[in-house]
Amino acid sequence: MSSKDYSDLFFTIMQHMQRYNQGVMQASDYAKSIGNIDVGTTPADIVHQGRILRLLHYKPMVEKTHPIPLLVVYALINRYYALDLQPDKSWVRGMLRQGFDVYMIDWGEPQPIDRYLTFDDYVNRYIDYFVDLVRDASGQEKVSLHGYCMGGTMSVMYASLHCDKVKNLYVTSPVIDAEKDTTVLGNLSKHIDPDLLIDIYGNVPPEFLYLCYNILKPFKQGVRKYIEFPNKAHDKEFVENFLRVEKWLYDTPPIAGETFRQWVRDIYQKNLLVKNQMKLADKLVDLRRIDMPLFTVVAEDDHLVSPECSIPLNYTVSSEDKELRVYPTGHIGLLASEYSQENIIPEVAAWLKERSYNHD
Amino acid sequence: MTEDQSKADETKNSEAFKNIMESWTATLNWLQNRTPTIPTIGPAAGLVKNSVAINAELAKAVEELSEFNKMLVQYYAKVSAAWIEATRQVMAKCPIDITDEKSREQVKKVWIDTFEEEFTTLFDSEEFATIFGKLMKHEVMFNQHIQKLVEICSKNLDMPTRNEIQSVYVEIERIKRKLKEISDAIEELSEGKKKDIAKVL
Repeated sequence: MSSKDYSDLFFTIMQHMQRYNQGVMQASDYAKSIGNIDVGTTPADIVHQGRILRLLHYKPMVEKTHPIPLLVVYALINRYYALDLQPDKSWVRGMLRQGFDVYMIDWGEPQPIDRYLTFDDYVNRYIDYFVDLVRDASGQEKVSLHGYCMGGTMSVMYASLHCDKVKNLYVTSPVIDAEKDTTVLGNLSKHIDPDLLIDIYGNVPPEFLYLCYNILKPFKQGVRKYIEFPNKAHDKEFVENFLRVEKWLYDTPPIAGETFRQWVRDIYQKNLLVKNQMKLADKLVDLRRIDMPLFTVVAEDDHLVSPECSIPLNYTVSSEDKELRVYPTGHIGLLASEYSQENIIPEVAAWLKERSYNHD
Repeated sequence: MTEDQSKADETKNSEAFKNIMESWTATLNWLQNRTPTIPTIGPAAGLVKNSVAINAELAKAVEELSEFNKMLVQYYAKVSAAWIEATRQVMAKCPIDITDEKSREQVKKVWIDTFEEEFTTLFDSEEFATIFGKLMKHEVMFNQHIQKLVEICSKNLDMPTRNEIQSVYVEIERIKRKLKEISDAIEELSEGKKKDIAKVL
């Protein structure tokens, strides 16, 4: 390269940086002017409001809903409103439009006093309590259960222990066979000492979880979005949606210590769940006891729970009526994307609709 | 007053002053010797008593911090190596002329893809996970010693210690579980009763 080439290159870079800086400043001013970002805006009644937990009942969007209600069990990581992040990509709205009677558990924010909560408490105490509330409110003997990610794993545990109360089980990216998990998260979780972490911190601090997320797709999802943000800062809708996702990403509550210990030790390190050796208090979680209709959804590009980790569920249960679908999207894309609105919700709804009546 | 009288007074005063000073010196000397046996009150007493334990925890905390820093060096060495390797690959793959928009976009894409691949390979490696695990361990251990220090001080201040609070939490959880068992049992009993009534009717 000649000295003129270098000088041109330098000039181009400087011009680019100047434009980028202008964009950053514009975006920053715009972000401030937006004020609070609304998430989880689908109207709902609060059926139960405890110290930290809530049960939401969404207002129906059709005149007559399908009789069997749908209870959504979200993960203990991040917040339930991932399923209702923005109106046009809201999974909750999608299911309401399809005629479902939707309930959702908001796990809230565990306090230091909650550090001794275990999966036994979450599954056999809280989910069971909410299932009973939904059964009472709907007048149905059984409910359909939808679990997402860690919530999927908890739904599977629940279905195994309380199959008499679950009509249909629909899970999205549950952690089942952790040994087969090929994600960075799976790798790291096999090398951390949860006992030490919990004994010292009590509940797992959100900062620890942020650190784990940030190394998952550091450039494609981390750096790139911040590089591209200033270029689209003039687009109001884009900025609002960007901030919604940012809010959700960095709004993780702590995880109850004992639950996290079981999550890492029993599920990731010892892989007890798929071996049918996981115990909640004195109750053995045997996946073979799951005999209700099962619909398992996984994403090809899931960087949090790899498909290989979820798929074994389909082959471990006793259910004869079961479906497994692999979609060409990512972990969040399964629920909060245009793709999910156009492709996943119609298929899931069709499957679930057929099974949301008491024919038998 | 005669000159003799004035001299005598002067001597008397200076002797009195000397006596006072001597008695204070004696008192101070006595106090100095007696200090350790004077019963101190309040938190200071405990702090003095526990100073060995406090120092030991401080020393351990510093030791953990130094181990943490050692791991941090290894951690950054790995990250830097990945960064350098990714940069080298980007340089090899990218066009030199980036004056037009198309080539700039191409560089950006290559840069992101290459860095993503290099860093994901790093984060996915056994070696990195081991370093990450150790780094986290030393950080937590450092906090553990700080917590022990606070625990010692809490005792001295007659405040509930972390362990005491934890035992209250455990007890509350136990009571909650017991309550759930009792309410389940009551429900079962009442359902049984309902069934019995249904049989009678």
